[in-house]
Amino acid sequence: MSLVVDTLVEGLLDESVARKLIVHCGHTPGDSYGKNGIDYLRRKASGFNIKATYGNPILKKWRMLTC
Amino acid sequence: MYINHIKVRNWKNFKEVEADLSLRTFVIGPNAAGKSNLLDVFRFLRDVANDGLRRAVDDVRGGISTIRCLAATRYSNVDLEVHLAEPGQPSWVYRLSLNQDNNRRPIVREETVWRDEQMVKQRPNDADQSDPELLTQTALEQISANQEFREVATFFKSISYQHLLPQVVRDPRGFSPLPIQDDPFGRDFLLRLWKTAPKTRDARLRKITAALRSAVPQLTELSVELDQSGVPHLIGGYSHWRVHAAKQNESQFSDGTLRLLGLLWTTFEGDGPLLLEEPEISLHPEVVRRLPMIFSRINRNRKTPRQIILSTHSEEMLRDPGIAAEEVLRLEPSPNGTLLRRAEEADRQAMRAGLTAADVLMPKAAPGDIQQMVLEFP
Repeated sequence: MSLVVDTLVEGLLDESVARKLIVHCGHTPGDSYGKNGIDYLRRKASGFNIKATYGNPILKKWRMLTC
Repeated sequence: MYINHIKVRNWKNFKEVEADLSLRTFVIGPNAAGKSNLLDVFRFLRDVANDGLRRAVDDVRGGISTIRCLAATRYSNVDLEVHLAEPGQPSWVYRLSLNQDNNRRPIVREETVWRDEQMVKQRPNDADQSDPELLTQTALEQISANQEFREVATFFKSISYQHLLPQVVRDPRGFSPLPIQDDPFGRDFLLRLWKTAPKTRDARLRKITAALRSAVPQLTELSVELDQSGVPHLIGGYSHWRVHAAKQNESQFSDGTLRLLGLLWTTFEGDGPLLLEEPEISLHPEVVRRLPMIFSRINRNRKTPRQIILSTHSEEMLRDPGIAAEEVLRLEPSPNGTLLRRAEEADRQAMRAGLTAADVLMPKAAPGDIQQMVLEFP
């Protein structure tokens, strides 16, 4: 089953890698969040975890948030 | 009174959309999605109420065929429906449907007004049937025809749109040799300042100076003076190492100073909805971050709150934790015209958990294939 998977990434390079990974796994890349460095990711991860509970799963470097 | 809902069909980028609006609405979306065209719905209604349908359609916007959405199919009318509300007051719905006749003149296909869900005006009526020429004008623009909904006409007239361009403020004649009134880009900005009653003008400039000083610390005072040929100039005192501040006029002001000054001045002018186009341009991120709070404070001392609808690309502005998910309207281009999107449940929950509109809504407004941009060029 193909899912739309959002990404939470450190920067633009990560975003490209994450999107490739998602496509490789047979899913569809969705919106891309973050891109403000590792510190941003750490601070905001819990909020995105809640978002993933209610919406699309989110791939965060490199672990899947709740889906 | 404020606009709490709009419904648009075949208007520029929008084939068929509707959305709720709040007192403070942030419109976001990629370039060319239709943010300005959405604001233009309200400007259009103002232009019709002020100057008439013909001028609003033909002179200002280049005719119905320019206004009509490219994705329009068999249904070719351009429809606008605006819902107005005010606590404790009657609610209004104004609906206008337009097309053009064989001579390419704009004509009213339908004009209906409801007051508290009761229809108070409907066109075409018998008079329109017997004299189709009447349909070249809306009831909105005619005082003899809008008695039942004068409040709506007055409200539309009070809508103001501002997109002050510092270059235009500095050299208005370079952009238009003719005198111009109520120019949103600032061709008559200094004249408007000058024509304001001196007491009011000075009081406003004092408040603006106090606020501006936080962003531009060297600025000590602001005034408006006429030069020898009768042209008004904005004069600012800039402190430096000498005892007395140096006087500079608008031609020496920075883009950011002029833009912020114009923005703050605009908030004092008028009571109707204020439409702002990318107010963040030329401003420092720290200033931009505070704009949502400034917009909230505008209504602090007002009896009836003023609605602000603004388009923005600024993450800094949307980083304000005081911005609710309901206040953001996202434009999403699609093959069938641009769609209006509200925050989804997941976004609302994330914002309740501490994320801001910049974290969860702004990334959705990015163009779809933006990763390719660098690879495609040169």
